[in-house]
Amino acid sequence: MNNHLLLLSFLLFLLTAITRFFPFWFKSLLQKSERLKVIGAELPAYIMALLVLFEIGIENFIRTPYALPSILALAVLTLIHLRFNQVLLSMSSGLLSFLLFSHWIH
Amino acid sequence: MNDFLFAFRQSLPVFFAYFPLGIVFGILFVHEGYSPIIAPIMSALAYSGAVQFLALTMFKAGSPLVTIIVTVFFVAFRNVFYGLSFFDRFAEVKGFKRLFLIFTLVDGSYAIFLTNPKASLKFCLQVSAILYFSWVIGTVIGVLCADFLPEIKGLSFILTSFFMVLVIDLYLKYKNPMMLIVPIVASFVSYALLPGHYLLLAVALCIAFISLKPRDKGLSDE
Repeated sequence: MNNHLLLLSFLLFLLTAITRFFPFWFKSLLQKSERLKVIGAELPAYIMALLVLFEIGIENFIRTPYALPSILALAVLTLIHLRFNQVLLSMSSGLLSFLLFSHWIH
Repeated sequence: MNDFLFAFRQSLPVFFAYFPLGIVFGILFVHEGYSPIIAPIMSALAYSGAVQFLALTMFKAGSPLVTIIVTVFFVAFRNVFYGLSFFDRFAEVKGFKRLFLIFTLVDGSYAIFLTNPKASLKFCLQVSAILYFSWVIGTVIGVLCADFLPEIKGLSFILTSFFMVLVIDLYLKYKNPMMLIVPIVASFVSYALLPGHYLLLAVALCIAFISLKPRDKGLSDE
């Protein structure tokens, strides 16, 4: 198990290093391809939304309580983030309201 | 020293995101029952919050390494474009400093470098080092604290919150409802088709959508 995790760490190192060094190796390729630039600029927004859903777990949306604690907590987080725009405050309010809501809603 | 204080002040907003997240990563890693030594190693090697948390979640769920790496690649994909902004600024730096600057070019340092366009290479190196070590040292502290903390069910929601903050900020930047609708539809469709690997399939569907859709106004100003 732990050996697998060490291997995984090394693979993640290779992966992040390759993505970060890539533009310095293949400058012209990236600058030429408009399509690739669009994907590079827009993909993060889609990915982050996917990760929110993945962390909640799609399986939790389709059975009771239909991920309600998560949805409500993210609503609180959104309001607080739009109001105060303080990353740490937003994250803490998301976590705290999730702990509260999942205590009340089963 | 004044230079360093300036770099530290500029790094503070990102520091306050990376350092606590590093601690949370260390805590969750140990609470999953994995060897405490590996968490800081992973943080030092991968140096990417989204990548590490996702890899940990998938590893815990028993996903094969190949699936983890392919999925995580798309999460790390945005990094491919960060370097494009810094060819000229990094042109003079050589050797280990160059390797370090490029390897540690993450969301946080990217944003700080862009908001300080005239700052020196020394400033860039200091910011990079501050953020890198706040992440790694945060992980070490998390690992050390993990045994004293009760296992809080739901602590990993901090990660969901972290991703949600990024979703809100990116949405405010592009104001494109498709960025919310497409991932939701893609996730449910993928779950219905391939519940075991639905994230990977959903990522592929989103890439297909971005590639095939007609050019919109969302990006033409970039």
